[in-house]
Amino acid sequence: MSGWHKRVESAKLLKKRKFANEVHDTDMVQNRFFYNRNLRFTFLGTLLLFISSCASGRLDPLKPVGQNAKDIDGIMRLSAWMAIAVGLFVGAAVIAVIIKFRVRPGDDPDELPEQIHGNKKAELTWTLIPVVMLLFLAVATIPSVFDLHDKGDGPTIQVTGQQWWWQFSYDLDEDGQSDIITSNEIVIPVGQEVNLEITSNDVIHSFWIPQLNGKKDAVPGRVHHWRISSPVPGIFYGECTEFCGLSHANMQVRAVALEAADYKIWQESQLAKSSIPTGEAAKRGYDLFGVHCISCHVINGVYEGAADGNANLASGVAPNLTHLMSRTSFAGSLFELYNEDQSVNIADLREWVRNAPGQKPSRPENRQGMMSFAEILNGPELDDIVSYLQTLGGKPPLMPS
Amino acid sequence: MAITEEPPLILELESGETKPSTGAFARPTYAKGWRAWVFTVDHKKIGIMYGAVAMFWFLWGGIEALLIRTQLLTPNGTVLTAEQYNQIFTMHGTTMVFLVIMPLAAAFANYIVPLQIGARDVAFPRMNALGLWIFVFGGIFLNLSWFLGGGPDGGWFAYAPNTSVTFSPGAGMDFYAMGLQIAGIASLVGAINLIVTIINMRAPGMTLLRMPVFTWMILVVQFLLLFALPVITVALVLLSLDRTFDANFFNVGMGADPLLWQHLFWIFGHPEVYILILPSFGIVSETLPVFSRKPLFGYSVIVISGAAIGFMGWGVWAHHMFVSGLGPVSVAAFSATTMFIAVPTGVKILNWIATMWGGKITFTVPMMFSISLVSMFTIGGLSGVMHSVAPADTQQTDTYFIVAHFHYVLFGGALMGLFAGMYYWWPKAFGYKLNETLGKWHFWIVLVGFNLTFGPMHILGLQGMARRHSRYGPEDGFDFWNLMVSIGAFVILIGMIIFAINIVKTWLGYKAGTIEQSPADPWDGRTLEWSIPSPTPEHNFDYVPVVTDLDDFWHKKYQKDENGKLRKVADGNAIAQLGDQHPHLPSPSYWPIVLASGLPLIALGLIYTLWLTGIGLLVLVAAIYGWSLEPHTDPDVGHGHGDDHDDHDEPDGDHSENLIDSPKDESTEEAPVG
Amino acid sequence: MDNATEVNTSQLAYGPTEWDDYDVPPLTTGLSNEKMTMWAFLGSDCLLFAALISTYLLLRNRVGPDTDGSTAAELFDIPFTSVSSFVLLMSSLTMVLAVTSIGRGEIERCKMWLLTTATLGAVFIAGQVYEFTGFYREGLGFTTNISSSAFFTLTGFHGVHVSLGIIMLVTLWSLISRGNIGAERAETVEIIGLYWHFVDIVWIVIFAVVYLIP
Repeated sequence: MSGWHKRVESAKLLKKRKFANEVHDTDMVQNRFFYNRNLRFTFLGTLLLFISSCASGRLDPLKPVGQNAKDIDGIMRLSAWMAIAVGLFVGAAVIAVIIKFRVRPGDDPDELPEQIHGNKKAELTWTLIPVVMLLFLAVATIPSVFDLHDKGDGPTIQVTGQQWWWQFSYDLDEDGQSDIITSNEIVIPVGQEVNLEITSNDVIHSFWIPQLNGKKDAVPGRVHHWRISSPVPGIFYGECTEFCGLSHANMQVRAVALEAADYKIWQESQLAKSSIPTGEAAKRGYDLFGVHCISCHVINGVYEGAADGNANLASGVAPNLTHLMSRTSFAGSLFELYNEDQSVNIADLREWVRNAPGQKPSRPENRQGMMSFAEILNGPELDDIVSYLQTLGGKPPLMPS
Repeated sequence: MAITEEPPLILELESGETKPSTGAFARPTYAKGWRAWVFTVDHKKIGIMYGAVAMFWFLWGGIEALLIRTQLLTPNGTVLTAEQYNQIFTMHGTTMVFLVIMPLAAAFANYIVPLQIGARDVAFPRMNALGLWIFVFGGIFLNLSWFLGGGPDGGWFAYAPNTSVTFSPGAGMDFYAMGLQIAGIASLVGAINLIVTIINMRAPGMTLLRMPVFTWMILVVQFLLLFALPVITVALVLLSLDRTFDANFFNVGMGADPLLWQHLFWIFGHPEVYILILPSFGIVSETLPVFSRKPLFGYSVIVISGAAIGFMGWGVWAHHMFVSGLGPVSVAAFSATTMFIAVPTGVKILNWIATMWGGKITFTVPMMFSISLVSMFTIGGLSGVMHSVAPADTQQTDTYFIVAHFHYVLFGGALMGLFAGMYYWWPKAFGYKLNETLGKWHFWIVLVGFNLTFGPMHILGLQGMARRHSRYGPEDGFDFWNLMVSIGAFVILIGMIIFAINIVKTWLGYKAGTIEQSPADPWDGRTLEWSIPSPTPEHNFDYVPVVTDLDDFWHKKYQKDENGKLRKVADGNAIAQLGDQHPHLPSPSYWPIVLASGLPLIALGLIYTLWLTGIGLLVLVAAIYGWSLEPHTDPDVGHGHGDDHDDHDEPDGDHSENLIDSPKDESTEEAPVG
Repeated sequence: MDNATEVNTSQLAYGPTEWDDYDVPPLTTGLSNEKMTMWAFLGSDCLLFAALISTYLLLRNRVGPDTDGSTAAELFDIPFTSVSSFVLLMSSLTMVLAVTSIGRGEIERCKMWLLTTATLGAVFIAGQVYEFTGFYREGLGFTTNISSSAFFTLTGFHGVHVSLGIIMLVTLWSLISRGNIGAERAETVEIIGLYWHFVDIVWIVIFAVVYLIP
């Protein structure tokens, strides 16, 4: 199949997904309306009419939910209003000049306008006014810079980026060993400032869930502290925002905020180890998995050979699949794991196992991304592996609505 | 680097006076045809070639932009693969910065600066040609990658370690590293040359504070280049050593800190932003007074704030790294410095408006482009202030809000200014004006297209659309504005086609005689370049202009009468020089282009096979040898004017006694060497 | 044509002045273009070495999971390098003497000092080659670890500068010998001297920062 064809096909698959936004907070909607209206007026007055027709996305940083995102939003609005005020002033001055001081048909071409070389007072004024405005902005900015760098009171989660997905590790007993390793979806308790320790296994990525906080780069060899929090349960969407190579566009992420009790339940379920499945097809899939998949993927309790990394990937890590089905998405959150009727999205899952590079641009021959099994596994074998995958973990605690 | 330091020094060794027959090779004498261009050392021809080559790359970079916009026209676009998309956006940025805006500014600097300071050429004409040809070969080299396995795919900012062989196995990033190195050498050669020219070759009486603002801004830019280029040179050397010779600078396994690249890149990269924008600031500082018929409001403040931007530009680089993992103290400090660099920029904008205020504005095309710079750049500057608020930047950076911001700065600022300059100085360079009607179509369509393209990007960015993504999903809600943006991009294309039509049409009309010859001073200009015929004669000035004022030429035309009222006392065209003198000029030379051709060979050799490097080095050494031993001029030929003049005479005693300390052997070297 | 010119020049904004008797009007600052070029280039070169030295300082003690081998600093032979640094420092002195002698018109003496300077430079380079070969034998190659890459790049860049300086000095010597350059072009020697002093000063900084500060 040609690369072109693959793209088209993968695009078709991608198009299937469509989700509404998670959080509907009337205050937010109100604020956003004000904010957008003004921005658009300034930057694009002529297109004002289109605002109402503009659908809202699921990333929308202008609809902050987490406390950090709200703080940032506040200071961003302040700077935006100041910029708009100055912009309107300058714009008005330019328009006034254009209208007022144009050459008129009757003007004497030899008549010169008054030759003014400058005005110290005026120039001093318009040097000092911006200085004062910027001082004000700086005073508002600097404390919030320090605030954002502070640690929170919540649990600490390791966030690791690699081409092209995110891994989240929870060290519950603080013994230096990760107890829960999951991918694509970071699960956090509601109401707590969760501490993130962000790093990378290969190139630089950037972790961003706009409704919860700004972004923070994941740099290999460095650990960056950052926080996220949500006052309400829900699923929040994010994406990688530092160019990280071929599939940078397809490295998405979700945050799942759970009520304290649900979070506890989730944690306990994640600690469970996997065992050999009992179903016939799943058992065949289990065996096939043991032949083809375990040099990269780990399933706690049964296949742990790749737990200390593998040589097939430049990053050395592939997603831990022990609790695959407890997530709502797979392959860098690119595909939904469940259909809208909450049945498993078998079609996408099977296609992914069959030919991953056809679904998501990658370079397995250069140890970047999952290889294709199109030439290796036949139809029934694929079905068996998918059956096995469906036995891994329970249902997700929250489903995208 | 090692290459550029060589020629001027060896050149020093030649001694035209004592042994005029040192020359091993005759100098070319072509006055017409392509060879007159290829071997020229004339700053005007070099300037025009810089412009022409830059416009070719502008077309190429524009096609890349249109490919990007076609891909993003709809969700999940399938026009390009992710791989192609990454290469194309990398090369779009690299091309527009290094092969379009920088050389366009170099075109104006080369052509206009010597005219504005009353010089007959730059300090080192052959070095000037060398800079041009290195740039030309560098651009070709960089784009050769398309035919040799694919373009660079690491972004124009090339963050390590994504650029290492592990993650970018193709040769693209090698072409990037070496291509920029070559382009950097070109800029360094040009920068040194222009610095020396501006500091040392001004007309008598032209003190620093009588220098036109454009020349001032070019001077600031050349200093920025002088100090910024070595930093990117080091960064690129480290990258090349990593990729080609297995060094460990960005090898995280060996303990490398990837932020090293970011610091080096942005210590260069931020001054680079001012390198791109200040020439345009200079251009509009020329056009706004001319078309408002008023002097520049607060000349010294504009000059000082330009220099201040140049200085402060060194203290803000880390604002590109607010989310890279710097500590809160650094982030807060760079946040504050970034805010305050807005002050001198704002002062400039308000001074420009004050220049127009109370004037009598004629809306010629260059004036319209200039006013659009003032207003569009303001938008870009204000969104820049929004980014300086570091917490807000954590939401904005790497989204389309940033893309919108810097396109308002670089397109709405730099490029609008450069277009203003083209329309403004076209008659000086070519002898006829561009068509004003077509020019107005060009302006309005580009202005509308520009705002349609980059305005909605603010919204997309605030909606969370990330940069450098080869696709977006239908669930993201980005469809509508992306459609608008892509339509806008094609509107810009229409505007640029009109510009091309304008160039061709007026040129044909001029050839056919239907478009009139432009007089020396078509705009009632203020600076020295308008006191000589259009197009500029080969020797620029018949007589050395002696300057007594800022805007000296304007003061020759307008003087106070007995009532203290300013009156026009002379028509600029009537008092302009005639261009009929034939002073001695340096001859063309073969060596700049030969020397420059060695560099891409060396670079290709480093990527593929070392024997090519050997050939390149041989070419280089041979060219340096030929260059050094070339006679200053060919004694038998009249330097393109057809006959010889006895202008080799030393000044006679009477005059030289009247002059300030200028011993003849220092000041009267036959021709500018180099 | 000439007559027309005669008639018109009086009405020109910029007619003939005494400045036209020069082919090239006197330079604005009085400093020659060539010397100014060298100053500008050296200014640029300062930043080059600043970036290289900072890179080395940042990287010299960094280790990662794959690091092995000693760092460059652990192998330094300070007494040996002190001697070769002293040799280079002395070459600055002989360079000064070369510049002074050509200024006085003492061509032969200038040639002698130029050759001495070049020889001292060559001794320094030989010392570096010896030192680096020693490092290599002890297992510290260019690609061994991050500190060795940074060290060899920094000192390599400096070595290339010194080598180019030696080439310039020898070329200068031969041009003076052939009579192409005489006392009237003393400035040429001075300009190359500027370069040479710069290269020496950079070495002093490198020696102090890289070798002496632990």
